[in-house]
Amino acid sequence: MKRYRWLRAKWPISMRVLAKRLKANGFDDGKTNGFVLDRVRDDFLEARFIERVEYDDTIVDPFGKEISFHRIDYKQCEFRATVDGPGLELVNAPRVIQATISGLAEASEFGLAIGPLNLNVLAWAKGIQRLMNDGGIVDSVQIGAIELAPGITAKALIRGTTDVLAASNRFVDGKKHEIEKVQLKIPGSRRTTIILASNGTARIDSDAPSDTVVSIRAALQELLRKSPGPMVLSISS
Amino acid sequence: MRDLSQLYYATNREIRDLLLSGKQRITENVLLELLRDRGMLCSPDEPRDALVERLSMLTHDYTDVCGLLERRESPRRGEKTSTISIDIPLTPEELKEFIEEYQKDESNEKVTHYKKSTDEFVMNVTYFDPDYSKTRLLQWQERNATIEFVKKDGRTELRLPATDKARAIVDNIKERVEAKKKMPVTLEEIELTNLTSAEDRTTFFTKLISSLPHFPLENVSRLRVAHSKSKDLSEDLDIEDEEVEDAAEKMLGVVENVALSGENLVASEMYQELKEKGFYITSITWRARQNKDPYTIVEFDAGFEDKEDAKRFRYSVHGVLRLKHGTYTKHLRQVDDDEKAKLLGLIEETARKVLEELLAVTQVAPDAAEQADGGV
Repeated sequence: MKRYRWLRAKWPISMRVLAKRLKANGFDDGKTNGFVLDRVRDDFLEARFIERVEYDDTIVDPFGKEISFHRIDYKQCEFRATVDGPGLELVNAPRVIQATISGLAEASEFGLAIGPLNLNVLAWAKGIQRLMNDGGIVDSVQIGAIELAPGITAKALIRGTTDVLAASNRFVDGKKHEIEKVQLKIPGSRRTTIILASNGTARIDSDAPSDTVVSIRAALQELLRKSPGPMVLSISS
Repeated sequence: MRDLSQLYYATNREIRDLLLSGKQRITENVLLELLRDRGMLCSPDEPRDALVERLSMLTHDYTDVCGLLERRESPRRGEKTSTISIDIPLTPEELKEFIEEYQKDESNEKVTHYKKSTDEFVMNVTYFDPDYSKTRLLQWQERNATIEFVKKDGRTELRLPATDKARAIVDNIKERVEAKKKMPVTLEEIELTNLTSAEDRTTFFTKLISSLPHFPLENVSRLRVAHSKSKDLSEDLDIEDEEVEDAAEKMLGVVENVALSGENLVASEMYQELKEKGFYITSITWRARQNKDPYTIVEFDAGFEDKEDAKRFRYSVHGVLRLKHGTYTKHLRQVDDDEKAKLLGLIEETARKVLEELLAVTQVAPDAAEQADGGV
């Protein structure tokens, strides 16, 4: 399983300049944190933020003897900065990404603006289906904040072996709701499942074809172009 | 020595007010414990007011009242520090003389002092600072001001609590130094009076948080920004009609300052928008992770007391998160005095350096502009 997370980021500098700055704060033997550049183009940049933590771990054996080990941990955060689209993509990001964001903010002389995405996840899924030309079905939907009565809400997970959208529509029955997550099943040669969430995250099977993420990115870019701001979610067939 | 006229006995009303006002420290459990100590068992369901009433009606001797006051005392965690630099070097021997003179004149205060090292001298002043907004028993509380003097590169650097009293003590000592040395002495504080543009003021903070040696920035969790008021407005032509218009304008919805709290605030869209609209940082709370063993995460705070003029720089170390078995402790821990002094020293040093660099750049820039104009 590979996790992707997209954030809205506005870069005040070009990718080449950003690359130069990240290189200046590069990770090498003598440092405990820094960036490693993987790929730089005019419109995007792929890099990793690495942190090294060294500490002594102490274990007490059954006879009360203390054994101390010197341990070294590396924490990595892979990312892709782009001029178009959302602006920042994190790959398998650790839970805490503050140091990475602070490092990027420093590199852009504190001119970087980052914000979370709030997407129409169904439109995103449809875009992916169209771009992949493989059809595919939405076999699970997670709907939150379904207003049953004023002040009373429900959360539902709808699963099926066929497309669940029509049934979900009947279930919601015009009530106020928010679609939180959608699982897309792609059949045939591409056979894979994609879980999309409204906060701009996607989970793909690790054995999925490598161009799957390309379609997800393109669909996201298209969606953001159509409606750049936050939006109200609704099921539409 | 405490002024004898200030000694008085505490009535039951005063004890009641004292207990009632400290809801966070004097909890129901504390009240039940205090009553139990007097041999009275009360129901845990009894309301706070009733417990307080019962306790305050008992006879309290001097130590009892002191005990209550001690429980009520809040820890002095939030105290901020400030730094002042004197443009002449003062040896510990000279300082000792000035401080002893100060003690002679200020007999209401208790002054202690000691020589920390050949270049460092510490004075501690115990004084009473009346705070009439508090309940009567808490109005006269003993306070401490520790001022450290460090002789460095032909100057004397002072670290003092960011309070009016500490500043008054420093001013008093400065006058004594001037009288003795028969020469004017200037006190230099970190202030951005020469940096009026919003951009420069913000740069001071961003440079400060990004250039602390061995403490790279991890996260900015609290930020206060204020709008730069254009000073040119006051120099407008004084036409009566316009004055009326100005007064009317002031009544419109105007945001003067904003306090933000969250994660990674300097990279947030909200902050960037405010920055674009001319807001500048006046105080900041940030966490930095040490880039060498023991990899401690430290929460620092820095800002200006006088936000508009960016004067009276004050700063503090809120606490630290320690790395234990590969993970960090969840809550901030207190820092011991030695470590705190080192961390505060880092802020002072970096703030001075950043300010110097910024002033050098802003002074060079107009010169360069003038030269360019001359060339045309």
